Amino acid sequence: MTGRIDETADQGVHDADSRLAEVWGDVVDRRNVAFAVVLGIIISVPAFLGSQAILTAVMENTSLARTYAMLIGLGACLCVGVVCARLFPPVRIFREETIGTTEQEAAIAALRSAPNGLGSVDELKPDECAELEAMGLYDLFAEAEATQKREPADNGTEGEAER
Amino acid sequence: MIADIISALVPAILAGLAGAVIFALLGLISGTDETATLAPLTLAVVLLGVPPSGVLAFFIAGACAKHMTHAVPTTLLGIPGDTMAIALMEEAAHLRALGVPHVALRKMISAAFLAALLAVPIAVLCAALLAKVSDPLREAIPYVFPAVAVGIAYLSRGRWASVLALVPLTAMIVGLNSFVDQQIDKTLSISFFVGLAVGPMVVDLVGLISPLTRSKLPTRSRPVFTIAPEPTSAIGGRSLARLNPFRSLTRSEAGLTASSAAVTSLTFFVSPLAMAVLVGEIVSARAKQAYVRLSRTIAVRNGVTDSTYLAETLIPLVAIDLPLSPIAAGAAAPLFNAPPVYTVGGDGVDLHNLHSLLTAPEFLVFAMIGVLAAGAIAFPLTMRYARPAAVWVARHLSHEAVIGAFVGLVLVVSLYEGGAYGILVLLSVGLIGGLLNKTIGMHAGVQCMAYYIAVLSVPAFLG
Repeated sequence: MTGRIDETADQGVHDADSRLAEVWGDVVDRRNVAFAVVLGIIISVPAFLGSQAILTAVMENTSLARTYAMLIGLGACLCVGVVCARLFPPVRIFREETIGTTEQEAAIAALRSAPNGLGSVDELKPDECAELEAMGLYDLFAEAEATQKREPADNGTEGEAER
Repeated sequence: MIADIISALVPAILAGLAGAVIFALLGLISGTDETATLAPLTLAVVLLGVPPSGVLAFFIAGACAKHMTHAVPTTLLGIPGDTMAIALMEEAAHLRALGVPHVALRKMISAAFLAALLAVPIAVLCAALLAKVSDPLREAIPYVFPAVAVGIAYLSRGRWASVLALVPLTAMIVGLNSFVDQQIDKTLSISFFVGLAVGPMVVDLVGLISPLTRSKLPTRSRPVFTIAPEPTSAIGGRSLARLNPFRSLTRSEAGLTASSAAVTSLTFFVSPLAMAVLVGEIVSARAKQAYVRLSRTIAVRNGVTDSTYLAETLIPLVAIDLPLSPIAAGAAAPLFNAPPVYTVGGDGVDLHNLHSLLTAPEFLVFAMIGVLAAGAIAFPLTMRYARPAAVWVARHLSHEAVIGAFVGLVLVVSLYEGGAYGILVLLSVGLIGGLLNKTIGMHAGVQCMAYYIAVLSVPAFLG
C-alpha cells in the first residue's frame, strides 16, 4: 500500500517535472504559469475597467477618477500575486547550506587556481587583517599560502629522488 | 516662503519613504528588472498628482533601495537580484563558498549607500555645468538623438546588430503611433515603454503556446537554491555597531568605492552594468591578496551600479531635459514623459517635465531626500532581516506569482493610457522588442531610444 502511494507521489512529481519551462529568467510549471496569466487578466482588468466606469460616473474630475481606477487596478495586481503565491508553490528546491573548514579550504584552493592567485596575507593592511581574523579565515589563507610555497620545493625534491 | 519649502519637503519625504519601502521589498525578489518595476510605479506616482519633489524622491529612493536589497538574493541565494546584480555574481559566489556571504552583503549595501550619497551632488553639479551649453545642444537634439542612440546600441551586447535593428524598430514605432493617432486622436508612450521593458517575458509566454518553441523551452530539472548558513563569526553578528554603513567597509574599500562613484557619476551614456564590469576589473587587477580582491571588487561594483544609475537619470534630467541615456530612456522615462502630466514636447507641444518644474538646487535636495530615505529603510532592514527575508521569498513566492502580477500590471497601465490600442501597442512592441533582446542582444534601454527617435527626430527629418 505504502509502495503504491509512493509510486503515485513519484508519478505526480514526474508529471510536474515534465511541465517545467524557463520563463523570464526562472523555472516555472507551464500549467501553473498559464493559470497565473489567466488570473492576472481576469482579476486586474475587470478591477480597472469596473472602477473606471464607477468612478468616472460619480466623480467630476474624470482624469483623477481614471488615475484612482489605475491605482485600484494596481492593487488588484498585488492581489493576483498573493493569490498565485497561495495557489502555486515554487518549483525550486530549497536547501540550507553548511560551510565548514573543509568547504572553506576548497574555496581557497579554487581561488589559488584562479588567474590572479592567492597573493599573500603579508600584503594586508591592519583593518583587512583584523577582518580576516574575525571571520576565522586568516589562518586558512596563511596555511594555503605556506602549502603553495612548499609545493614547488616538494616537487623539486621528488624530481631529484627520481633521478 | 517657509510654507513653500514645507509644501515641497513633506511630499518628498513621504514619497521617498514609500519608494524605499516598496523597492526594498521588490529588491528581495530575484528577476524583478529595474525598468519593468521602476517605470510603471513611478508613472503611477506622477499620474496620481504627486508634486515634482515627491516624484523625484520616490524614484531616487526606489532605485537606491532596490540596489541595496538586490544584494540579498545575490549573496545569500546565489541568484542575481536584478539586471545590475549580474556583474557581481562571480565575487558573490567566491565569498559565499568561503562562508562569508553576510559580509559580502554588508559590503554591497554599504557601498551602494556611500556611492549614492556621493553620486547625487556630483551628478547634479556636473549637470548644472552642462546646462550652460545645453541651449545649442537642444536645438540639435533631433540630430543628436540618433547619434547617441547609435552609440548606446553599439555598446550593447548586440553591437552593430543592435545599431541595424534601430531602423526597423523606429519605423515600427512611427507606424504604430500614426495608426493609434488616427484611431483615438492621441499618440501613446507609456504602453511603448512598458511593452519594451517586459518584452523578454512576453516572448517567453508566447513561446509557451508555440509548438515550435515549446519543444525547446522545457527544462527537466528543478533549480536548486541553497541558502547560506547563519553567520557565526564575530563580524557576522547583528550588533548595532554594524548598522553604521561605514563600519562594514575597510578604509581601502571605502576610498575606492568613493573615488569610483565620484568618477562614474560623471558618466551618463554608458550602461551601469558595463561600467560596473569595467571599474571592477581595474580594482580587481590592483588587489593582490585573494580575499581583499573579492571584497574590494564586490563593494566597488555595487557602488558603481548605483552611482552610474543615478548619474544617468539626473544628468540628462537636470541639464538637457531629454532622456539621452539608457536609464533615462527606460526606467526613468516617466520623469521626462508621462502624458498628460509630463511631456518631452515635439510636434508643436511645449516641453513640460521635472526639468522645467525644479531648479538644480531643488534637484539636489529632493534627490538627497530619496537617498536618505532608502538608507533609513533599506539599510537597517537588510542588515537585520536579510536571511529570514531570503528564506521566505525562496520558500513561498513562486515565479508564477511574479509573472501573474506583472501581466496584470502591464495590462492595467496600457489600458489606462490607450484602452484596447494600448494593449495592441504593448503586445506588438513587447513581442518584437523581446525577440530583439533575446536573439541579438538589443536591450530595453536601446529600444526605448528608438521611441525617442520616432517621436523627436523622425518628424524633424521629414519636415
